[in-house]
Amino acid sequence: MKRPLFTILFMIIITVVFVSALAVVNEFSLDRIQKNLAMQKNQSILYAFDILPAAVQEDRLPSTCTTSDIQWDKTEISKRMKNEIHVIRLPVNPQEKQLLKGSFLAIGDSVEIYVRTDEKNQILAYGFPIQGKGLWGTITAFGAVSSDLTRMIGIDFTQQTETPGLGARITEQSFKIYFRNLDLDGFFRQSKLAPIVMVAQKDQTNLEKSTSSVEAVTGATLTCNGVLNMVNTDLRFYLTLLKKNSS
Amino acid sequence: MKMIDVIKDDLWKNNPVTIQVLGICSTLAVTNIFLNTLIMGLGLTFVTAFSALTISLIRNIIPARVRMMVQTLVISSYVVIVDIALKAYVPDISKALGPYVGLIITNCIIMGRMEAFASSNRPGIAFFDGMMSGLGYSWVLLVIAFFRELLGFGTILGVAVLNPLMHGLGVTEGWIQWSFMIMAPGGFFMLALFIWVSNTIIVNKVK
Repeated sequence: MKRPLFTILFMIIITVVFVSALAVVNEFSLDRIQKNLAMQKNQSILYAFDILPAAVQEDRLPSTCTTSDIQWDKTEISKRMKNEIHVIRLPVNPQEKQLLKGSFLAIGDSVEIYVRTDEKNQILAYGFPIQGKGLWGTITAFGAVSSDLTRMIGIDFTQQTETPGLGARITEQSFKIYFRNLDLDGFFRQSKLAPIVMVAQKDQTNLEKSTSSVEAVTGATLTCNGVLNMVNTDLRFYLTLLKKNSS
Repeated sequence: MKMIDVIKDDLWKNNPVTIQVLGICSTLAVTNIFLNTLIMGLGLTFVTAFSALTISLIRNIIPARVRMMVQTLVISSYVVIVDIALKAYVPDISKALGPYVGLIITNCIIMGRMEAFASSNRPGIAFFDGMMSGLGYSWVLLVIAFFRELLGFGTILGVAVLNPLMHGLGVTEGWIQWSFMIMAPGGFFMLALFIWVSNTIIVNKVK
């Protein structure tokens, strides 16, 4: 009788000891982790809005560069977020929610939209979260479109669990660059074709010649299909909403 | 057991990956990129060493019936500490590694060393054995990762190596990536080659 009691007591005590130790470690590092997450989120938002540090020239970034490789001054991130990026909420009606069928976005009665403005408070661009299904899990991104809703400004992938070296390459400059100046006219045309398509190879980026296509990652078909579906689905929703509210 | 025997055993003669064939899942999963492999190796070495130390310290009071539960609790606690430390101090690497850090808990090398060594040896030598097992796992993975990244991407630690070399040799197309090396089958073949080579050397030495 004594042996089982000792076993149970031992397990309880050792569990309490280790869980308490973990709680202490977590508590001490929580602040730092949250600041890191906020900083990463802000870096993604700025990248999607095509806001880069003054010393960085995007055409000189290595093809494998990710957003976290771009060297920012932390105070500058906070300053630019505070001065140039504002958050508004737009109401969503049930018909507009229908556009999100198949999307991973969880939208309530309203949705958060990020707005980039200049010094005169003129709207330059809109930004919003995008979410969809990748090969191994959910892919979360932040996308930005021009104020006239005709061009995509940029995209950054904030969370993904795709295969390193294959699907995970969607976070690299060589993939994301094709979303800059992407033609969004397909969303406003009555057509059965997908507004944005993915091709195996492109000779020029959309900055050189704007088209509605982006270049896929070789060997990451399912991840690329996931990205394409989520961009097409969620952009259709946001563009419809923004067009209605643009007045 | 002497420390020199522990070193020889864990790094070569009884290597956890090539001889015991443990930790294969992560060997195949992370070795397509050298930096990820390096961080994974360091993380696993830390977890194995400190788990072994902890288990060894309490080995005489752990009830036999719950020893595996206790070992799992200790191992997972250290893995959580590694995960928190990466998120707090190197968030970019933590993001790059993603779920693989948490999967260190499932690595059979750690449980294997707890059962085979830490639970029946003194803390000092147990810590050293844990560290050597981790390093034994790490060096094998790093060699595999070196070749997989080099042939798969033409880079070492993200720095282009083969493309400039090919251009220098007059090959206008540059280095054509071996996509096979980036995918899981590439990991299988590299690991198999490594096991074959190391076992052949050991067998020849015994002869």
